[in-house]
Amino acid sequence: MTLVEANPVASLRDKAAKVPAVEANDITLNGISKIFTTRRGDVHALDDVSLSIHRKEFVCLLGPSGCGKSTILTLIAGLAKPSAGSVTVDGRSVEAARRNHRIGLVFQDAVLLPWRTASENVSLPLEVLKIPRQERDNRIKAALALVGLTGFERRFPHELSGGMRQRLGIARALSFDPQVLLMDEPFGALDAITRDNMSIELLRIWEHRQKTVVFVTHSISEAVYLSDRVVVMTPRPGRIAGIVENLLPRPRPLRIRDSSEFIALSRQLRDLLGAE
Amino acid sequence: MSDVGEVLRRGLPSFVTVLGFIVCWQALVMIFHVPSWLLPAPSVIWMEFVKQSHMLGKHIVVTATGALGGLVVGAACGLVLAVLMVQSRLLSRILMPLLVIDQSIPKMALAPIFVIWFGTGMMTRVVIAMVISFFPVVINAIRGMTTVDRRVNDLMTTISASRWNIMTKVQLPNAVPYIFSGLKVAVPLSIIGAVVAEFMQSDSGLGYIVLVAVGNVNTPMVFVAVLLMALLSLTLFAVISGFEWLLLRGRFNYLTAGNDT
Repeated sequence: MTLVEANPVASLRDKAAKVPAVEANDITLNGISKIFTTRRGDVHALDDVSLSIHRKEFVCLLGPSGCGKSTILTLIAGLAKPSAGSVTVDGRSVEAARRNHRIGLVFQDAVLLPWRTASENVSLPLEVLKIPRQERDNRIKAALALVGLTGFERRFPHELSGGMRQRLGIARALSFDPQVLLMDEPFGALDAITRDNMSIELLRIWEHRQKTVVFVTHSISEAVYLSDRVVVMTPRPGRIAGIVENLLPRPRPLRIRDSSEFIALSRQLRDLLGAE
Repeated sequence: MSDVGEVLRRGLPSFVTVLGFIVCWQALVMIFHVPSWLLPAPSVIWMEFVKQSHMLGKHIVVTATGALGGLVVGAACGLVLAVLMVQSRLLSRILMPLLVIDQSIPKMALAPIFVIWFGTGMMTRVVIAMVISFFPVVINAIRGMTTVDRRVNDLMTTISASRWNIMTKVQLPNAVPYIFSGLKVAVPLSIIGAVVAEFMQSDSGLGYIVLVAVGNVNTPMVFVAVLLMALLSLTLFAVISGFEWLLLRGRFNYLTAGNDT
């Protein structure tokens, strides 16, 4: 139902895309290398990766396992330090971004606290941010409504389906209104049908909330369906094989996957992935 | 109603087994005319209990107080120690070997020393019960606090959560089921501790009753006292399980889900 609605925000975006507008860089990776030292020797997880992600952009990192795409997320989140190069979020250090609560994380299997109900899980970051109770309750309500979990407030995670748990993870990440959403294969563990629905939902939320999204996936069609740009990565060492602009119009119905543009874009990505 | 039926149906097999055991015991003692100073029949033990029940209450209370006191103090110390050790790697490195060494010392052998230090009163019971019941609480609490999904910590880190927040909102709640497991292991240990103290030198408690009864070759009374210790242990265990149920109702179902049908 959200698909047929005309989305003023999205159509504005489309117009903006045609005009060479200068948008602020939200995230910048500059000459990043990451080397993990293990007992069997050094592993080059990332080698000389540079990437700029614009404010409100939806970027997919696409590549096989071990290409370092998740490592990029941990670097942006400030959970690890690059061996060389620098990462900035909004022109400042990742530590500053963290202090200002600008980063929301979503994982593959939601990672909820099993002893907290749905609303208590969403409440966790709000409690840490010391948001007063009244305001907190409003935000929890809004976040759960946004992901379609109204009515499930008092359910525990084990009482929810995989798709609902994932929605809850997204609600938790959005609850404190971070500018950047880092998503690590968030729909990787879901069945194909749930996955389609979640993709539609995610785009609706993204258009509604105007977030910068960095989305890690190894599904070509998921990347093409969701993104503004696709960063194709190859492993050993993790490198960017190419960055593909995705100009498919928004909003995107699921049947856009049958269009020749979609198929052409998919082929281009597949070629890039197979190039090395 | 169906719940009651369910409980009965589940409890029936073990109830029948216990009943059968008692019946066999009674029968064998009667058939082979085993003297009661060697092995008293269940009926003799029961009669001894009825005959002496007026004076037993006070001894039960004394042992229970010692055990429970030791358990509570031991668990509290254990919990504090676990929190500190999880917070500080250095402290953990210092204390962990000491804990293991401490655990390797047979506390029973130390009991006479405790009597010298703390006298023959309630204090010695509490102290011995404490030193043997706190170890399982420490170990389980540490395990519970450190088995948090690494990504939950990542999540907390990206929003600059304080150590206090991580401890109170993630680590401690995660440890609650583990702490209860530790307490359940500690319950019988605490009773052993209290009874050992009473074996040393005392004028009351179930351990004292055993000593006196053995001195008088009153074997039925020994059995009465030992069975009362077991009953005490079961009661404490049930109380702790009750608290656990109240606290975790619904919340940790995934731990038990599929365990029972």
